[in-house]
Amino acid sequence: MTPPIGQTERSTGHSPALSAYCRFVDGLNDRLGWLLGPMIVFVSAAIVYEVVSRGMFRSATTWVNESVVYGSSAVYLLVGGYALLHRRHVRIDLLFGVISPRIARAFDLAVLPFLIAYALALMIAGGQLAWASFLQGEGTGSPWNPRIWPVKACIPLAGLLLALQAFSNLFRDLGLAPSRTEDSDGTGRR
Amino acid sequence: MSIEIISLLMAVSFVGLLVLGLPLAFAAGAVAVIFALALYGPPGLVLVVSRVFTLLGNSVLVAVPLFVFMACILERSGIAEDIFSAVTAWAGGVPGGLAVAVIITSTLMAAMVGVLGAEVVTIGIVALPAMLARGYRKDLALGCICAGGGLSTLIPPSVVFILYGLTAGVSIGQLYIAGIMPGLLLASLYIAYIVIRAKLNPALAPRASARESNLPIAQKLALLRNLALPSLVVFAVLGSLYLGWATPTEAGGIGVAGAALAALAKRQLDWTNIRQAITETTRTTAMLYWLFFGSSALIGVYTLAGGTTMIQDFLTAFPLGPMGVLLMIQAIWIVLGAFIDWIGILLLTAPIFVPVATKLGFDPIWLGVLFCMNMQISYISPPFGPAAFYLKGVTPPEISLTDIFVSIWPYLGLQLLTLAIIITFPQIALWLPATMGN
Repeated sequence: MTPPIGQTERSTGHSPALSAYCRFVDGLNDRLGWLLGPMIVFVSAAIVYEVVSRGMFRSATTWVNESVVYGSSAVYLLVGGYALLHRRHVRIDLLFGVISPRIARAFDLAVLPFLIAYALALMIAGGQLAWASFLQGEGTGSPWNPRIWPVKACIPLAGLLLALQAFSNLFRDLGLAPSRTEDSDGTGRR
Repeated sequence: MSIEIISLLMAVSFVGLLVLGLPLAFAAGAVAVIFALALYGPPGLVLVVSRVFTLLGNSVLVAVPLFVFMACILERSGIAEDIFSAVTAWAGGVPGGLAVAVIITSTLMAAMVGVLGAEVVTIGIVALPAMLARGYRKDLALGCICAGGGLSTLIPPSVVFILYGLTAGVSIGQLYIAGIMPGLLLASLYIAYIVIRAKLNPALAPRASARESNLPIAQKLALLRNLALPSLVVFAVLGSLYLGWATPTEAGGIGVAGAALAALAKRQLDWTNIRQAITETTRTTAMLYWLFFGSSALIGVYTLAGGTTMIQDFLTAFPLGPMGVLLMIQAIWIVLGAFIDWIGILLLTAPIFVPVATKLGFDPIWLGVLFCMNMQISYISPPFGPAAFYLKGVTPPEISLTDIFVSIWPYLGLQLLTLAIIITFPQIALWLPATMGN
């Protein structure tokens, strides 16, 4: 999945350490997205199974709804960094047609601390919530009542993945690491 | 610090971050975090994160990836081509027949596809070459594709309705059913416009040759078979919702199964297509979820600070009366729609506007339909209307972005007309959901 880079790093001003960081983070988020994405197939199947079993045998399952809801929420939380890697988070490109690339890079630098602040909040407060939930053995409160802390633990993890990816994108945009040569992923749906 | 000053600071910092290029989802999240910390200290952060967690447990949210997945499967199955060829065979004879077929195809596709974008590209690839080869004038050919693509916002299973229902706390099933009549009304107006223009000036849209328009009836019937499976998918999804058999999430699951069957019947359900559909679903849904997290956190902090109440008090005490407030809301949506993506507008304004409108005696379901109509306008209107950009991606190089935007004006006019009709006669939207089963 990671595009072949390598010899292009000579004499381009790319930092080897940052290039390695970008390759690692991009690879991590890309594999995560690739791995977690197919969950939607199981979610669909579980729901169809639920509908059929309810319709035919009048017996609603207790576990399908909750595992589908929390499972898919956790997945789409964790792939926030993956969507950032592929630049799929909607933004307003009001100025980007008219400003020079240098100024655009300055803007990127200026907004990064804000994204990191959000990610840090998810990590710190999310970590506290998850830890408290783990200690309590908190459940969902349904008849099935599974433990809820693994879902809560995805919040700080997602914050971390997002922050890592934000730095990787920035390094690549600033020219400190080679740019990703892929762009054939269905480009910018608004 | 007074709530007026807090509101101003929040708005300025949010807009500032957006203009500097931070994605909507993170700009909302960051402003929420900063103001939560400033106003409430570290416990404020817990508030932000709890808002995110509450959303994780919402069972309706799962309907979003399901309908996106359904759309992604159908998009790759070549069903749009089938529908277009069948509709052309049957309706191709009327004046402006190919453009009429585009609107009918878009309407049928809209009943299966709930996300914007996909349709304009697919139909642009299928129908535009046919129309240009026949000698249709550019503006007629381009405008109908963009306008038709917007119908997926209004006609169920629109993802806009899911997120509106979640934000406003109203039934998504009812919203879906309420969108049907206004969607069909709009599509009929498009068709009427095309037929009248083509009739007044036949040079705009040359008629099909006698050979083309007189297919043997057996062949016409054979093409009709193309419509069978897609129609079945539409009826399974909407029917189960209308009759109250399935929740929106379950309807989404049924839709995915139906889409997979339809693709399988066309032998398009191979590994590459599945993998692509999954990838597209993951990226689109991740974007939508994170936007939901961020804006929910922002609205949460703003509400706690008293801002939502302030705006609501201001709007309810507005001197122009309920209708004045409603029209102002429409104007705000249309203006914002020219700059911000629909989902940002929805998530940030609906929590404030819907309670106000309800308090003033307006039906929140009806308001949801109006919202979708506004977002259709933003979908095609210059200078950022995404429909034009999608279409530009698949047009021959001699067609410019300006050509596309110029072609859009008459359709924009029809959208505004329909919006006015639905505002004047809410019953057009509301009578069908009133007959639903539970």
